[in-house]
Amino acid sequence: MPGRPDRARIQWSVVAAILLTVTCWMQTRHWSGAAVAQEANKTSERRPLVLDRAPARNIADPNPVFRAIVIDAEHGEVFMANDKESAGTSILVYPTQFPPTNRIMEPRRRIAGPKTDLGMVCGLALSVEHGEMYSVSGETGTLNVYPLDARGNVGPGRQLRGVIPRASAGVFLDVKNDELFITTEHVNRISVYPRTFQQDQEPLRYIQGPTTGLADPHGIYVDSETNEIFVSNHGNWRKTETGEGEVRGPDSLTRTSLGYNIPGRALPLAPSTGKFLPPSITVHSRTASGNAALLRMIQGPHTLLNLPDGLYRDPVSGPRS
Amino acid sequence: MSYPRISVFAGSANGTASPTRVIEGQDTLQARTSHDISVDSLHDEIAVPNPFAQAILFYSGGAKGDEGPIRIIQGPKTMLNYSDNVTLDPVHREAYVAQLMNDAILVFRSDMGGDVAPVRVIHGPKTKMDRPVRVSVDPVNNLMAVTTIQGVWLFNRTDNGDVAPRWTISGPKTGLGVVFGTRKVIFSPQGKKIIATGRRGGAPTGELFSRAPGSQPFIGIWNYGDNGDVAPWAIMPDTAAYSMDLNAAAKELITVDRGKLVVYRMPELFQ
Repeated sequence: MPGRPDRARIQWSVVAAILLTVTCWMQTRHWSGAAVAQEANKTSERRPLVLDRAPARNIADPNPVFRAIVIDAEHGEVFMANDKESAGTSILVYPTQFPPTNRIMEPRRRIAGPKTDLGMVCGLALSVEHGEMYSVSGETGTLNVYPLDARGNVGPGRQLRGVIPRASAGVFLDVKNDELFITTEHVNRISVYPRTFQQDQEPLRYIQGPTTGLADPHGIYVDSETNEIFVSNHGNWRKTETGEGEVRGPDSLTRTSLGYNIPGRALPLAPSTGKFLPPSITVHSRTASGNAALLRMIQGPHTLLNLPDGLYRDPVSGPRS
Repeated sequence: MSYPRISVFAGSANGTASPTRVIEGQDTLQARTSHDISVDSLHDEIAVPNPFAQAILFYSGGAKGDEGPIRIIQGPKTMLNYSDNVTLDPVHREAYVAQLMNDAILVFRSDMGGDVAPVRVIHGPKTKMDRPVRVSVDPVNNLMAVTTIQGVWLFNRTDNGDVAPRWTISGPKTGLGVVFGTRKVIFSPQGKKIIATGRRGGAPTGELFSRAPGSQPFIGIWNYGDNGDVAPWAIMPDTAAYSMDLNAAAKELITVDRGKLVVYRMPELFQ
């Protein structure tokens, strides 16, 4: 019978169509939800693609940049601070006497490496009598002390932390009064500590505030005979409060030196006070404290000062006032 | 920086190449703590901040030597406070500054100088901004990215006042935040990508290169619209940068890392 197979085929076709429809409905009824879930998984369970790419090119200078210089005449050595990151920040020690050469002279020894905690070393001072070398950094908030004959990757023997503001530029040892003087460019300040400081030592005194004349201070020299402090200033000025920059946790006046892991206090938006002053050498009383006015200033076009950094007074030919 | 200076190199420079010119000296009015730089190629200008004098300095694009700024934003109305960063939007002629001290973003006209007030200020509790340090702008898609202590906050470019961010990329999966070393965030408007340095492991001290064992810095890449605690779409492992920029024409990512300028060819960022 030609009609029977057709009927059976039709019956199977109907059953198959129903099954297919049910299957499709079951499969597709959650499509929109599944799509959203997949989209969510895209970010919540995302596994990053790794792009391990070699540089196409780079620019780097392996030669040091010298920032500070100090001489140990007794041992015939000159210490130089190199604050260049691509050259590996370091203190390089050279002999004061050497034959002339047209080649790069290697240092006699080098203090460098992670244990040294040098940061971007900006200022150096020496005590031959006590066999100590002092360094400050424009990056960190410490004063480090190393043995005078230190070499290689050595940690500081002593380290001042305490409330010292971040980013110091210069350091000077007043041998007569056994005191260390530090300039901080970020907060227009001179801090004074005993040479024999303890790690959390408070400053003996400090000079800071709008009448001090300090404007982005860098180099520092103390004349213990005339009781005067000489400071070189780049001239970038803003009004700073006495005590600004001291690291005192939540009680700090500003966030200037806190680092980023301490919230500190947010200041309200307020009128700016910043201005550009000509570069200068300011002179202060050695025993001045707080917002003390400067004694006098060397400043003006005749001085030819241009981003002055290092500062020293010739004890023989430098006339005293 | 060691000495206040802007160095200009040839685009193809490599190795120990010397700069083609430098802008340095007292008359340039730069400070040693200028942590950012922005170039407006459209108007041929360079901008850098001077946080100690609370100023934004603009130089001619071809400046060299002890050449002074052509324009300075400085004065009481500016409300600038110890700001070490600036980003220019050449299309809309605006300059953006993140204010760490005030939890605020200031926006200035970049073609104006002197004692000028910001044209917009993003500030207030709705912003949830905590210690912002850098800001970046996508003038094509009208986005602004702010690097904060907890991650990257994305606002509409024209947002003003006390506004909530449009998206935030923040949380342990992101590895982002100033405490993990994130500084400059950049946009790829073509590829709709957000590029930032982050770090996994180590203490949240703010250092990019933590010495703590297991500390792993990376450059992470996110897509526009990524929101919340989202892992990056892609990472460049064992890389990090205090600052970055893109050269779209050459499909390159340019990074600055501890005194080195490193260039990567990265076509993925532009697709």
